[in-house]
Amino acid sequence: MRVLADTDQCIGSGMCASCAPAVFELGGDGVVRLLEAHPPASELPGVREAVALCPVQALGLDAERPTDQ
Amino acid sequence: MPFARSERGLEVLSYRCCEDVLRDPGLAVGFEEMLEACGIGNGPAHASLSRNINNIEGEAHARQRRAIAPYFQPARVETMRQTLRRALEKRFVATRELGRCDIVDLVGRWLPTTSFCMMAEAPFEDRPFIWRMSDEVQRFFQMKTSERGVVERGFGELESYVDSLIAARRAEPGDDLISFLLAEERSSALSMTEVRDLVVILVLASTDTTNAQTACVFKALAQHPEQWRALRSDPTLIPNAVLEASRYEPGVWAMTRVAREPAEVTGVPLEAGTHLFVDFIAANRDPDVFPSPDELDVRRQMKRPPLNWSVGRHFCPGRPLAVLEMEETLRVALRQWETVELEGDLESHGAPYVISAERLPVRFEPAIV
Repeated sequence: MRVLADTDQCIGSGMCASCAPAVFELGGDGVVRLLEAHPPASELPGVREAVALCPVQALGLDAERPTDQ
Repeated sequence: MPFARSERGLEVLSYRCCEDVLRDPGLAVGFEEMLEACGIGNGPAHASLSRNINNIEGEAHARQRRAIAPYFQPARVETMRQTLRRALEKRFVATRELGRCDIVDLVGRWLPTTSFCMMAEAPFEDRPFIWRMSDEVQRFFQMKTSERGVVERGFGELESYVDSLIAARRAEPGDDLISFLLAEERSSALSMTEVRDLVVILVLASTDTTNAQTACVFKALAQHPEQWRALRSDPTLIPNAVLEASRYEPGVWAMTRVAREPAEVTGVPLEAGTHLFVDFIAANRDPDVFPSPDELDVRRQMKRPPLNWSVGRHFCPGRPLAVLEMEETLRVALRQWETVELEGDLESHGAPYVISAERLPVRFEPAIV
């Protein structure tokens, strides 16, 4: 599993950090930080939830890459 | 033009510049300046509101955000959905035969305080009291010396109330927000003062703002019958409709920032002491971000969110709950009401940029359910 986070799109909602705190963290600047780009499979449910709930679709999983703009 | 100068300071108008200003670490939120404009330069209200999570920066801010984040995790917030929906259904059914209602009375004064009581396991009979204290303390946003007495009195009552809730939960912990914060205190993630300040701000931030945004969502939809029909025929559009109506008719028009030192934002020099008004009401209609911005379209595909809940380090942690409350209110109203129209203006008191909704009279045609 490979996780992608588009820091330019991030609005700092913190959804990801609450869904998968071992994978995502919100920095003091309010921008997502990827703690683990290749997390173990046990993190998959939380990562999937984070990807689905991100209000600006800034997160991706494997092929589900966010659009680069 | 992304900026305009006004009597009160610098108005930030474009979506992009609003984002830049909200993210700028050199600009303060400036509750102190707002309180001082009300003549509140010291005392308990000044002390607590100055050091609260919405106003501070740095390590203490990041630590408090981390501490409360798990409580607002979407899965936990979702557990409130069914309960709130059932309660809303009862309330709407009770007014069905009247054919008219006041949205603020039916929902605004009732739903956010109900949610707070559920989260804090506070008695439901406290709702009118919570409403009044919140309404009074929020008046510091008006930045007028005439509000000083009301703000300070409301704050004193609110802090005593919060202390009594904390004492009750300490004696008998449960699965509630305050017990959760007290557990964080036991693990040294939060200090006792921080727990108290957080409960205070959670009362303030969850009531008035959600009431105002709910009233604004209904105001927007009541003026667009074709959008109401579209939602009735396809309720899966409800989450999108809440965001779109919030974009179109924001309850908070602007957020403030203060340059305490001389600064520069996107090339504009700022003197020390300049107040900036991040005008969501303009940014939410920026045509570069929202094509045909003056159209309300519940099917709109938004690439960027409306700025009502801010962006960056002070993003509203309670957004999932506020959105859920509005989605469920709208869902129940759509099921019960075939049509809805305004019977008068949205009545609001106060601040030049934060609506404090007092009344929104509507007329509706009950649906056959």
